[in-house]
Amino acid sequence: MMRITPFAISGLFIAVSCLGVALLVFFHQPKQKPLNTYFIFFELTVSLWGATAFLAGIDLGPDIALWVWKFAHISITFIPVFCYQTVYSLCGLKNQKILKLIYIQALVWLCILPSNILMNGVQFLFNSYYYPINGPLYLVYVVCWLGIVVVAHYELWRKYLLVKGFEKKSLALFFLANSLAFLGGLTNFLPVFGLNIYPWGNFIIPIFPLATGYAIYTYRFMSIKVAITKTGILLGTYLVVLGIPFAVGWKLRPQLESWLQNQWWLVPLGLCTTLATIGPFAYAYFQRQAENRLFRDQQRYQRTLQLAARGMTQVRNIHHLTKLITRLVSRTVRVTHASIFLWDASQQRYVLRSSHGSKRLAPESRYGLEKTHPLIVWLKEHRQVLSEETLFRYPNQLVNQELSNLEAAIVIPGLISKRLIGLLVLGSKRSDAEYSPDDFHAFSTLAHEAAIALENASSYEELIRINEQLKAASERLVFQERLAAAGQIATGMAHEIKNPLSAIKTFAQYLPEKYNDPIFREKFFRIVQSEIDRINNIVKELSDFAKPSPLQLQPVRLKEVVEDTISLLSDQCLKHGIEIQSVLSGDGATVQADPQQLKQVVLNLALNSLDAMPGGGHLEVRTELDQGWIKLRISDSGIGIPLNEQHRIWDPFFTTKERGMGLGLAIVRGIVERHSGQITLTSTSGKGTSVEILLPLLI
Amino acid sequence: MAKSRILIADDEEGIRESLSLILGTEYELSFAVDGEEVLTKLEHESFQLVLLDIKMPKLDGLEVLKQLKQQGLSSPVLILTAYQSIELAKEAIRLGAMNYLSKPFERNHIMKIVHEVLEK
Repeated sequence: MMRITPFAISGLFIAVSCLGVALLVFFHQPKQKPLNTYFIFFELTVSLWGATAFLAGIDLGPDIALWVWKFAHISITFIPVFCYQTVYSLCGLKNQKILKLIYIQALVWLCILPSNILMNGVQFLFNSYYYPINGPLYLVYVVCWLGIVVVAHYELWRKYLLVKGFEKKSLALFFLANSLAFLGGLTNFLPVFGLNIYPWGNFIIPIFPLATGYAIYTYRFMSIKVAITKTGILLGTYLVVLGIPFAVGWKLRPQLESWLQNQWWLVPLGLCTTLATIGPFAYAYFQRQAENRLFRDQQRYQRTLQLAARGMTQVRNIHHLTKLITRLVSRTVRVTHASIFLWDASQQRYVLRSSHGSKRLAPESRYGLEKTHPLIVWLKEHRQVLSEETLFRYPNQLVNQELSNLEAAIVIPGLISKRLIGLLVLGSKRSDAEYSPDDFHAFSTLAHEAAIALENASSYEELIRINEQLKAASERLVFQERLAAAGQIATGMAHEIKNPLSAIKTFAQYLPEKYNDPIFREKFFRIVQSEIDRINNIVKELSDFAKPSPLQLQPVRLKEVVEDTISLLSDQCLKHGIEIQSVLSGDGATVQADPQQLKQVVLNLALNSLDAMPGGGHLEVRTELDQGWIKLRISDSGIGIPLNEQHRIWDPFFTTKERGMGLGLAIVRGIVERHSGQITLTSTSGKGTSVEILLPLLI
Repeated sequence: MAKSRILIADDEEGIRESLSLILGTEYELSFAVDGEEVLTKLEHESFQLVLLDIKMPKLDGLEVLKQLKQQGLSSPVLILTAYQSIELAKEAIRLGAMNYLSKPFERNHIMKIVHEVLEK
């Protein structure tokens, strides 16, 4: 009759857990390495042992049980072999003789296995299932088995003493889980030698695949404490979920049968279903509790860092920002040092910008990392936090060396899309505690936000720099324009003055010899006087233009100013056959202006128009409201200004007239602009010119 | 011997009177106040020399030179200019002027240049 025994259950656990880990490694490892292959073989062999133990434990009768046990010994034989092979690969051992010897002894045992030399039949033990009886060589077999296990652990231990950091931690975990599992497995040999102790140790074996599986899955051998706690919670939960129903079914079966007859199994099944439903919640709860206990301190600073990351984007000064980050991290996380390297475009390398902590990097060293530096290349390639642990996955001796040079435990890349803005280098925690995956997450968030903040700050500083350059350029331009204007004015003025000067000079030269000539004297007085007046006038106009009289602002009705000015011109217009048309709307509209200067504007423009119509024509003066402005337009039907000269009409001393210095329009524009107005001129050669002025209305 | 005839073209009375003072005793002078008058006079009379101002109403000195060139009139021309720019003078020489005189001018300098031109 088939009976499920605890031994069978333990076998099942082993088979499932080891097979699971073997598959996990097979599918999860990014790079297939010989170590992984040996580890998979190791796990599969243990899994096979679990499966055969299950079969042996369900009591299939003595004959089948003997063959099951013989079959089980194939896997038992190879468990230490693949264990050693894994250790051989893990520790980088070189002695192939021992390895070969181990394989040979396994093959020898394999050949002996079918005979009775190893196992001499089976016996019914613990009142539940059949167990092998030791043959003549069984003791030798166990000694060999144990010897290989001890040698493997000895090699692990030797390696453990040599290495440090993450590798040491991972070896410790492997050593501990492995030795516990082997101790558990060893209990299976005791009944063979007549020591009838139930092999409960079999239940310990799954700790090994679960612990290593967890570590492999997360790639994070943070600390043995954390790994064991987490594995323990998982193991405890599934022991409760499966163990309680099994214990109930096993111990209380007679009572349940008397109560429920053939349906007695409903109770353990119901219990199992209920516990399996509660299980995941309980597991999550205990995990959380454990994490809260284990990472209380980390959670505190992770919150601080996340808050800091959010506020960081407000700081716009790179120097302050880098200082803030290093101080913040160094103090809240309590690390030996926190340092920031930033990309420096001028030096074409990552330069140390700030360092804080007891082991801070000396700023005077101006430590710099080139673009091609292995550390930078690694960070750009893997785009993740660089730690001993990640370096274990993607080994690089040069990067490892750089980590020790920087006294760094982890390096966090500050990335924006694919660009590495900078790196945050952290020393180890002063408490010697490990960095957790959550730490990595918190630091990555911090580094990302910091990279954005630094990028912003850099853009802001760049903007300020560009702005300053622009301002300087603009000042230079204004200065150059002033120079050009001064040059233009000087040229114009020279030209205007040279004509009268020529006359004065010539007449002065002739004065001594022709003093007694009355005709000369008459000409002298007339011409010299007139030319001096002209020069005087030029100087006055120029000084008016260069230094206009200050504005005497007052509310002015533009319409009245225009009417007064136009009336002054009516006689002149009549004389030249010019018809004036005034269309003046916006009666009450006032502007804040200097009435005298406005009159000058209207007069200058109207006189220009008159000059443009020597043979008579039509002058139109129009005022009208235009939203918040009042518009004044003075148009004539005169000769107009050729298109190629229109761009120069505002230049001082530029004129198209036969008479005049060319300052009129320049003065008009100056006055309009000082009144916050706008002026535009449109002209068609031969048809006329129109000047339009907009002045802001006084509200 | 008949006096050489010089046409003085300038819109400024002061300049015309000044040149009259300098050259009036030795030469027979005629005057024009704008470019059009220059062309009209040259069409109907002959002059051994034209003193031509650049900045003049209606047609400026350069325009007058262009038209003279087009019409094939070949009176020697001296340019009068108050501009500092050498470019304008060069342009005038390219258009056929023999030389240029900068304002304000020197009495002796003008006499010398005019003599030289007329002797050629």
